[in-house]
Amino acid sequence: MRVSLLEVRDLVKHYPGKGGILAGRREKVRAVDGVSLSIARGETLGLVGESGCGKSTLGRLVVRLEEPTAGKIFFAGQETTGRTGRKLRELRRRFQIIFQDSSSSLNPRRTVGAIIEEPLANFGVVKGECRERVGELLELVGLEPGDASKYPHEFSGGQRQRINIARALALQPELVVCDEPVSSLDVSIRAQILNLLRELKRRFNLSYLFISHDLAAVSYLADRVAVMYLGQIVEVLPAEGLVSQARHPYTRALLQAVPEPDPQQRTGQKPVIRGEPPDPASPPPGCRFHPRCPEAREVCRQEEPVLKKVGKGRLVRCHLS
Amino acid sequence: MSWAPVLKVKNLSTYFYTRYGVIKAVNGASFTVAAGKTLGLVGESGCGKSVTALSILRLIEPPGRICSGEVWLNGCDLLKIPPRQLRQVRGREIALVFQDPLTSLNPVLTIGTQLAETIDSHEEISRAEARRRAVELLFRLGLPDPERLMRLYPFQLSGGMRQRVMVAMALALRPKVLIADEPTTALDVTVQAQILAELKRLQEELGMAIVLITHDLGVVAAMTDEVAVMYAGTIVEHGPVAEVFDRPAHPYTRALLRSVPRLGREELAPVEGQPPSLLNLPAHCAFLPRCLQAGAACRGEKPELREIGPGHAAACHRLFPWAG
Ligand SMILES: Nc1ncnc2c1ncn2[C@@H]1O[C@H](COP(=O)(O)OP(=O)(O)OP(=O)(O)O)[C@@H](O)[C@H]1O
Ligand SMILES: Nc1ncnc2c1ncn2[C@@H]1O[C@H](COP(=O)(O)OP(=O)(O)OP(=O)(O)O)[C@@H](O)[C@H]1O
Ligand code: SF4
Ligand code: SF4
Ligand SMILES: [Mg+2]
Ligand SMILES: [Mg+2]
Repeated sequence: MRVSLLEVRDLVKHYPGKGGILAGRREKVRAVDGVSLSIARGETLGLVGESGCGKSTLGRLVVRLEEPTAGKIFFAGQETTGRTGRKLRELRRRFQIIFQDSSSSLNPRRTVGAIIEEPLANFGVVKGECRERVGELLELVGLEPGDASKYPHEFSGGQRQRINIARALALQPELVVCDEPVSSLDVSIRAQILNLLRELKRRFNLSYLFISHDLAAVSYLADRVAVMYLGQIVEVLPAEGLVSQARHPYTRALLQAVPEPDPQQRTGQKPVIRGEPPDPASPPPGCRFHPRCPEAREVCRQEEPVLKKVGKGRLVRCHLS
Repeated sequence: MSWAPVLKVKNLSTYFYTRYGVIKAVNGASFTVAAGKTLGLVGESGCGKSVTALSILRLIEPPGRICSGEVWLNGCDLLKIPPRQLRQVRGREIALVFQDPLTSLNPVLTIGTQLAETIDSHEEISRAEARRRAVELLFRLGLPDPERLMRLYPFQLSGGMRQRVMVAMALALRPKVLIADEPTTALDVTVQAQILAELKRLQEELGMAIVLITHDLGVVAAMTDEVAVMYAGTIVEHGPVAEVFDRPAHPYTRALLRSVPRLGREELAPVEGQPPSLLNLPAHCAFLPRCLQAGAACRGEKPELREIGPGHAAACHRLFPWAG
């Protein structure tokens, strides 16, 4: 059996809801609500889902920037949940995150060189070597070594994202959580970055948790794709089957909504999912997707479907599967 | 057909005077947008799209400077009017959705306070009325439980929720022109479709013109009436969207369209080569080092944007045969 590099079991993250006093009840925002998944060494798991469904929260939990409400996380066979201080630090350099809000995660008062150097220096790489490494990293992501002396605001949105990637790669991690790493990039740089991530994966046997709204990018880079809806995983399938084998009605709606780069085929931008957006503070009973699901029936309103195996490497949470 | 442009940008140039030289971020850019229409502004990362947007609203800070150009809106040149008048125009007449939501939202104020302040600082309405309008807007943008959301701080929102709050802020005063800089990058495709539909609806209701800056050519195809393609701070092609997609004239536009990734297609075909350094732009066509179609003429003067068909213009010495 292949040992997983990352193993997440029944992970839960609830945030205290506001307005409990006014509403007369204490609401919880169920950002992540019972997620289990695993990523093998050298594997890329794509994570897609509606805005606000809990992807970034899951990513932050995985790299231990937040404490889960419940559940366990194992990294390379060792439990990371519950670890603190030095015991966490030892593991920490082995997993990194590229944040979704790229610009604001760069300190505006420090030069790009200092920003990339920081993790290196923190983990005891000597000064002279640092500088050289910074130059290499900048080149790796398509910037120039000379850019090290500039400040973040002197770069465009896409250029700043590449600085983030360089910083995340500085310590040669084994797992990188990429939270929308290409969403602010143009198609050429996106292609360059995707090829770069792929190349790094091949060279260093890197694993990624690749969070993205860009389904083309996900199907290009990922080995498997997990689809999330309102805090839960609703489907897992091999990336090459994303278009042809997706079964969950939410996944299918998502695929249908991808705009075609062809003005002749305008669909009139008709939203494919109707109905009110779900509220993670009060998820619907039964199947969480039922108020918006075109295929919903009585059982969907009553019983919560479980994530069940429907084929090799394929899981679906739907009564119809 | 109403062709009167509501926004007209002429020969706009914005430079940054840095310690390592002058960065010519925007370099004589010209384009127009008609009332009730949408213009897509596309081009590779760093080509000057956001600086153009910021320049139109005069939000460029030192060491940056708008060196030349005109920005006509409702018969006044925004680059010339006094600051007091400019504040009146911003938000009400022309509003901007910033590319980066976190840096443009105030981290210590709730979403509700920020939205209501935007609204009642410009309009003679009560705070309560302003809040009611804000809730309504958030609801239209597909945000769950907007009442609760109004009480949250920016860090408590997901990336896509913050982005929709930014869109709501810009729409709050029902502007005549909306400049939206990558307004849907943090959204999944279903929510994106909903936001774009909502923008269209408001556009029809208010006759609002939209300048949509995006890397997603699928969104351009679905949403816009016209496209302007930017390269190294200048517009190199401009025309009706169907025309530009079907008969792209400029070699850069053609490379850009070829590079669009599609779902289920394996290979990626990025535009070859590196973008030019804005520190020392050549006197000739800036695309020359990457252009597959270059000839002797290209080493001469920089090509001007010229008409090649009805409403279709391109800046190139050796236009593709079918482009007239
Ligand atoms: N610190 C926090 N306090 C309270 N609620 C939070 C906090 N962080 C996130 N949330 C809530 O948790 C839910 C999930 O947010 P998350 O950022 O994980 O979504 P996401 O799937 O990454 O969305 P997007 O695609 O828009 O980035 C949202 O409803 C959000 O408001
Ligand atoms: N404050 C600044 N100081 C120096 N250079 C700057 C500054 N702001 C922008 N630039 C430079 O101006 C150029 C244009 O930047 P701009 O942000 O307009 O690009 P963009 O087309 O919006 O790119 P993206 O698609 O990546 O957002 C870039 O090369 C950038 O490095
Ligand atoms: S369980 Fe029912 S409501 Fe849920 S996705 Fe399946 S068909 Fe739709
Ligand atoms: S002017 Fe010459 S170099 Fe420039 S785009 Fe046209 S053919 Fe290419
Ligand atoms: Mg997120
Ligand atoms: Mg930009």
